[in-house]
Amino acid sequence: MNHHRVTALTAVVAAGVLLIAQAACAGITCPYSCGDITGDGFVDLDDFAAFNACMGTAPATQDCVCSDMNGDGGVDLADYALFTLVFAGSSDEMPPACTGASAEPITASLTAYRPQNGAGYAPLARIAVADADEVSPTYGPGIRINAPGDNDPAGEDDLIEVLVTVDPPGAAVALRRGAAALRVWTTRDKQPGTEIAFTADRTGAVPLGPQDTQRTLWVEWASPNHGTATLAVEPLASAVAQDTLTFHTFTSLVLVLGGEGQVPSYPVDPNSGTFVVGEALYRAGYDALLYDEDVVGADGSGAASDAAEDAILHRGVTGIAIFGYSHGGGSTYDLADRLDVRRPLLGVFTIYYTSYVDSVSNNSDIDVGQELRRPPSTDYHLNHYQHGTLFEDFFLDGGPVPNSNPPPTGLDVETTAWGANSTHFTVDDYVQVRSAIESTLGAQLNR
Amino acid sequence: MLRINAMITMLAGATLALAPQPAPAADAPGASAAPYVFTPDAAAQAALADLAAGPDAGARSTALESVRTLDAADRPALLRNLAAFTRDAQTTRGGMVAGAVIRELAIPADDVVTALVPLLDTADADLRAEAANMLGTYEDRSASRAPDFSRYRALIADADRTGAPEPRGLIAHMLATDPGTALLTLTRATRLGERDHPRLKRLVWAEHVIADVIWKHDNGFLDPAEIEPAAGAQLATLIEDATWWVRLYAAEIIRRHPAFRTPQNLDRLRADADPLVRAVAETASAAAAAE
Repeated sequence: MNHHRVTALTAVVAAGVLLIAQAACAGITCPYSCGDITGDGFVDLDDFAAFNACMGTAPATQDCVCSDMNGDGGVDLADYALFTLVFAGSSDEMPPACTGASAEPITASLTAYRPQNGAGYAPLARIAVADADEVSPTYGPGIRINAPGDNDPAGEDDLIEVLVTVDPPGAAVALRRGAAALRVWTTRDKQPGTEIAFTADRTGAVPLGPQDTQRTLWVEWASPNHGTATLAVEPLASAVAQDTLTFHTFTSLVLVLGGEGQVPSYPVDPNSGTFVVGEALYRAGYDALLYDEDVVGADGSGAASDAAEDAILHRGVTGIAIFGYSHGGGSTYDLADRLDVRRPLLGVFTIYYTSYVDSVSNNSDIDVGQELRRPPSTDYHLNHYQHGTLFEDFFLDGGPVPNSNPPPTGLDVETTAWGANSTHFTVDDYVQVRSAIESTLGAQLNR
Repeated sequence: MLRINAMITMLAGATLALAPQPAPAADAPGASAAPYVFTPDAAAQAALADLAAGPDAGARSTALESVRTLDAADRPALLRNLAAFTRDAQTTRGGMVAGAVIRELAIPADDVVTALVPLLDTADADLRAEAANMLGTYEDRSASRAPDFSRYRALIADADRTGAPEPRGLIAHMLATDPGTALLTLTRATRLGERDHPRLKRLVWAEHVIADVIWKHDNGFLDPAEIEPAAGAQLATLIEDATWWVRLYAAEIIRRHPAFRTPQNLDRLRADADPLVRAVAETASAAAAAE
């Protein structure tokens, strides 16, 4: 310890008027380490001077709030006692009673993941939202409205996983939300007693053990109304956000249907072109569900229809996109037809986008008929097809569909240089086909 | 893609050969009929395998000629072999052979249906499911309209006219696919209007009242958990009907529409004299327990 400094400090304090502060200053917090009143990274005579100026006052300025080191609403001898412990590095330990920020700077970050599906993330995987996209209202973390009545046949799956990371271990951090619609839980299925409470849109300390550097939380959009809202992490003793996420509610749902024998899995099979597109859309912030076309009955009923109906009825989804390959194309028609027929029940929604790749009618697993009907009530239809033969691909092929894109009936890929040698079993894998679906869907459908 | 209904058909027929046969209902002559037996032909299966995965176009062309020969000799046997081959297929190409052969040989839909319907009465659950799936090709199912059971109606009418055993598997398949359309088709195929006109009117009215509730559910005019009392009363009468396929209709209704499930309905149908009715009721009961 610097003896000269201590002597000076003692003298000044002794001369001070010791008054009990009457009230804390609402709305001002101290963003600096305990005792570093001036925020220059050191606890020295400059800080002491600032402390002395606040002595006996109610903390009405940031300097004085930082001087109120025990947070009791007044700058007094108790704060002085704490200050002497950290002055000029006189102790390596942060005084336990010092409620200011840790002497060691806290860093904290949030990582959000793309939406769940059923009991986990299958058939895709736990995929993080890129840092660069975290505050984007489109590419950022999408979240499903989770209002009462939502049907989750495989259990609650509408909460978004968020990973809180802190340094040093066990650092006290809080969450601050931008809207009351956001609720935070420590369990993915909202077990009783696991909600983290907000007071004035701020939590207390996020539950972390003394050695923990990470904690998984689950974020819910608990309002029936659409919107965007931020969730930030900040040191408990500070109002300075260390990292922020911007959540946007999903207004749309994308249904992706593979061909006969194609089952979605992760990593996605590069020979399952529609699933490759589906994963890309999921990564880009869409709520995309990938299905084996077997889940769609010839009358359109089944798991994909149930998911769409639940989204429309209970999650405020108003936009639907459906696309599929081979029998998945036939099922795209069947699914659009069913949703269209059920409008009296479902209310207002729009099928903004559909796409076929070599679409085959899907009345049974052995159906080899071309699906040449435009999906009912779709705003925009993209169509790619080739020509099947017996020995090459068992006659499996699509064909021209009225009022499709590219106009007037879609693209016969065998007329292109890149697709001249295509067969039914390869047509869905061309990057040109996949890119066309991804870009046209993106132009038609908001997230 | 028709796996869901195929599975239903499979479940419905599950007790055909396995369960002890209780006393059949008074007018259920087919309830104890022996299951249909089909044994795939090795040569036919080999030819189809070559067609699916022959090393080159020449080999596949040779295989196709073999298939043509089989077709000329016994078309129904070829079609049943196609069902067995599809049942066992492990690849997309293998799974599509049946469709390609039927198209290449220009086999009429009536021929396919007639050949496959007996497979709905086999003891082989997978083969029953495959046959049900393949038959879906010709049913024109849709959300917008009722399925086309006209080919089935003709087969049932023929059996009725000639006194042949009822195609129970087919009837169960129809009821699993669309209970209302199936019930009305069955009343016509069996000429009920000529034999017992008042009964025909009772059945048609019951179906209408029940269908009206389902329509209201489907279109948002009635809470899905509720039914109108008149519909419940009509279903209760059908559960006690003397004809097994009327009771099977009732079982399919409660399987598909939870609002019709009551403990009394489930108990009565689970104790039915007909094994197909009991099997569907058990499925409905399991679904109720899972809710």
